[in-house]
Amino acid sequence: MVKDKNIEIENLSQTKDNKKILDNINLSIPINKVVCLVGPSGCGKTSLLRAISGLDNFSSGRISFDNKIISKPNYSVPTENRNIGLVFQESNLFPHLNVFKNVSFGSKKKKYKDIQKETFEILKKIGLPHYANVYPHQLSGGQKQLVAIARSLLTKPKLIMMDEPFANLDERLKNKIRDITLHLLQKTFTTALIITHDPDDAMFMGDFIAIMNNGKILQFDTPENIYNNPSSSFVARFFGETLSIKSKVNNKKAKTIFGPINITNSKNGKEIEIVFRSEAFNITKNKSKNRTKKIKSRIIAVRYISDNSYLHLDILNNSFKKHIHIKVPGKFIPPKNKICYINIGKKNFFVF
Amino acid sequence: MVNLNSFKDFFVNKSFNSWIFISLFITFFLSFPIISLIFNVLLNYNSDWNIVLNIEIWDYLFNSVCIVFFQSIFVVVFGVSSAWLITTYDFPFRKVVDLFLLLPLSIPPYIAAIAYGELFDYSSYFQIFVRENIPFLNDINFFNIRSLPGVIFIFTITLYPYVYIISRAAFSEISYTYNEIGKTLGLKQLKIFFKVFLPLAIFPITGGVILSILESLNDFGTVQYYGVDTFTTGIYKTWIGLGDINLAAQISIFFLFFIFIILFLQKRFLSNEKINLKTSSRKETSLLPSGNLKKIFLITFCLFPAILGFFIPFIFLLFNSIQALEIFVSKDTLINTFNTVLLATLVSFTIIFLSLIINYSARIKPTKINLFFNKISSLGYAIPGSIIAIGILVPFTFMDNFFINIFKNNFNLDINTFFTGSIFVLCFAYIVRFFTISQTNIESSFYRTSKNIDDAAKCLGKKSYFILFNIHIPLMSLSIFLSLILVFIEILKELSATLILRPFNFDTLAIQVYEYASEEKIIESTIPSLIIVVLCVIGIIFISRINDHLLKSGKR
Repeated sequence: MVKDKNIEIENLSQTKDNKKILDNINLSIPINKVVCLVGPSGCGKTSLLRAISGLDNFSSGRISFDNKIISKPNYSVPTENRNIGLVFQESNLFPHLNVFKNVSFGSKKKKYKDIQKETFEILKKIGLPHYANVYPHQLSGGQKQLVAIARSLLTKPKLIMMDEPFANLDERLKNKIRDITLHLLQKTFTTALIITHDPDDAMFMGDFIAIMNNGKILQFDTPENIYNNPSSSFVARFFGETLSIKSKVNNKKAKTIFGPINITNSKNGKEIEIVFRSEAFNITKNKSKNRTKKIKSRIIAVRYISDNSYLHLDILNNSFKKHIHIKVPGKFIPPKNKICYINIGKKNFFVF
Repeated sequence: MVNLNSFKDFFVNKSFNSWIFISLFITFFLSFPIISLIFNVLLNYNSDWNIVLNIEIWDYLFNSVCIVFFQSIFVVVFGVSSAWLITTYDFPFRKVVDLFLLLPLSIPPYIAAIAYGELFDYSSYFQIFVRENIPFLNDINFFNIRSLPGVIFIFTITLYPYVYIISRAAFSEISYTYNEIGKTLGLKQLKIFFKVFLPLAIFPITGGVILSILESLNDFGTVQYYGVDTFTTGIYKTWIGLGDINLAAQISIFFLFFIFIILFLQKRFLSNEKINLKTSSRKETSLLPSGNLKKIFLITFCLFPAILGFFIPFIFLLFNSIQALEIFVSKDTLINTFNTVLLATLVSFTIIFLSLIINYSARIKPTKINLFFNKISSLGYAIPGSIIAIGILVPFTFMDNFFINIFKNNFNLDINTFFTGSIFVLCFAYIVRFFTISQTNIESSFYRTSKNIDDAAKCLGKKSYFILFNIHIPLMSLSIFLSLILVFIEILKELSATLILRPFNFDTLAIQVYEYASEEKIIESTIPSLIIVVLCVIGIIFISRINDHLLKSGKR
């Protein structure tokens, strides 16, 4: 799929206390692209990052940069010689050094003039050139994170890795900082691996997304493909709100409360799971002559959020009592407790 | 290419191993006295042991147990109550009183013993006044300070600050909300103290009590001066008096056993490490206000231990030293002051250096073996100075004899002792004994620095020694300074190991005090005493300033 490989992780496994933390990980991080590694907490994202950076060892597999092996069991280039950048959740700026000294910490230049030039260049890029003499404790959370990123970028790393860089920031600040970060990475042509538990962050930042669970990479693809062609129900459920229904294949069809659904490539009697995104549901009138079945529901609450109406519905079916959410574009505010009908469209559901 | 890399990697990995190797070396160095003691007792079992065991060792044990028991009660009463009042109530001069409560740390027990010995002497103004004015107390034996109760009194007033410091820190770390919750549940302040704060702080408090016990068990001057025999005097007598180093080693081992029982009991029964304290540094505003009468009571109550432990001995020293000013400028005093300060500076810097290495090694390679080194190396403070001295003396005497024989037999030369009686051996003993002080400080400041800081610096291409010197040492500079002063003060006061190991013609201030006092030249002894006390007071003022600063910046 990707030809310009520069960071290659092959069959990487790591065991700790008899538990497989990383299970046969294969990942190619393409050059100059941003890859987001996303997954629930405890799935092994940070372990993978520490293995790549050389801070932790692993039991089998290998890691190579530019076709040169830098790490395999019993052999490992020490972290300080790998030329990578690392940014943590807490910025970890050196508290006794000011912003200028922090950013220039990893500089390989000898002359002070060169260091100064280099440092101010990057400080300008993050919009903080006049903060050079300020100490970390005087910075806001977002500024600290930007300085930490600048500090890593100054060494022109082959790969910059960020571990939940935006998790400690509030929503508004986060949007701003991740925007600056994305453009900074693009401008400096930096390859990046960003760890996050937030699918929104991954969608926003990533050229590619790798989704991880229980120490395995489930899917590695572009954001569009991940969203539109999820490889498993876990991936489908991870991005956005979903409703999941279990059913059986019968005559290339599966029975659901929304009527039968065509299943082309499955054997009769196979247990399947159908995952509906909330975009799959439409609100219809009772009388409309649509092929799919209409389900009676009651409106519990309606909220109007940035020109979308957000409907909370209880499905009124004795055998299938569920609560679902539907986003309707524009202002659509029916009264509470009103009965309405929903059906499903042709898109936005997946069969596994 | 790969080969070249692995070659390089081999050396890099080797540098990691060298950290472990150095730690191993330091640990061996620090546990050497104990190892040598154990070996000596196993190899040279001495039948004289039975004589000592029958007659004297039970006296030592009885006296030591009495001291430990009563001293524990009294230091808790003094230390915990004043710490509670200082951390709970607001009253005028609170900060000054707080500093005063620390000052007894500057008075070594033997100096307080000399002062109170004079003040309560039969012919002292105090005794004469009591005899002449209080009819039913005209017995000449009224309050003989040179006795077991006298020793306990001296230890209490000079050593309660260990409990005070620790309980004060514990009380101010326990979240103030517990107090507020207690009040909303209708509890009185005193009940909140007994039901919430005391149980929560019991482990650190007993830790403080143990420290004070270790100090008093280490003491030689006081018990010797007041004629109460304990293990320390026993060891000294056997070595200097009988000249029997093997027997001294045996008594030392017996004594060590006694100490480890105390340490074990504390760990076993009072550890509440499972309780996860919700801690927060208390703000000044959360102190309780108090009325005028109460304010006067609080000030007097809190000043009481400080007056007994510092001001009375200090004023005694001041008044008497005025009569002996010519000694102050004497050559001996100047040389001894120079010796002591030089020794203390040298040893405290060495100790800091060693503890930085051993802790940093445990940080970059947190393997079980490294953590074990860390534990072992900090045992020294539990071991009395006299035992460390014997533990060092045993192998070095052996080595000296070995060399003397070689030179005599082969070259027909008479040489002096090589190791015993050298400054090196004395420094060695100090390092072993006081390593713990800086170890705990440095360890906790390493612990406070996030490991991500190391990782970030590593990713920026820096080697481990660079990270140590450019990140950790600047970050913990205050803690390092604090440890330097603490070790320095302890060395100024140290007597029991110095007395056994001091080189010929080399005296420290503490030795000078001891020698004058044992010749009953009390007035002369006040001069070196005063120099020790004043140096220590300066150090303690520094310490309390640094501690305040660390508290405010949230690093403690």
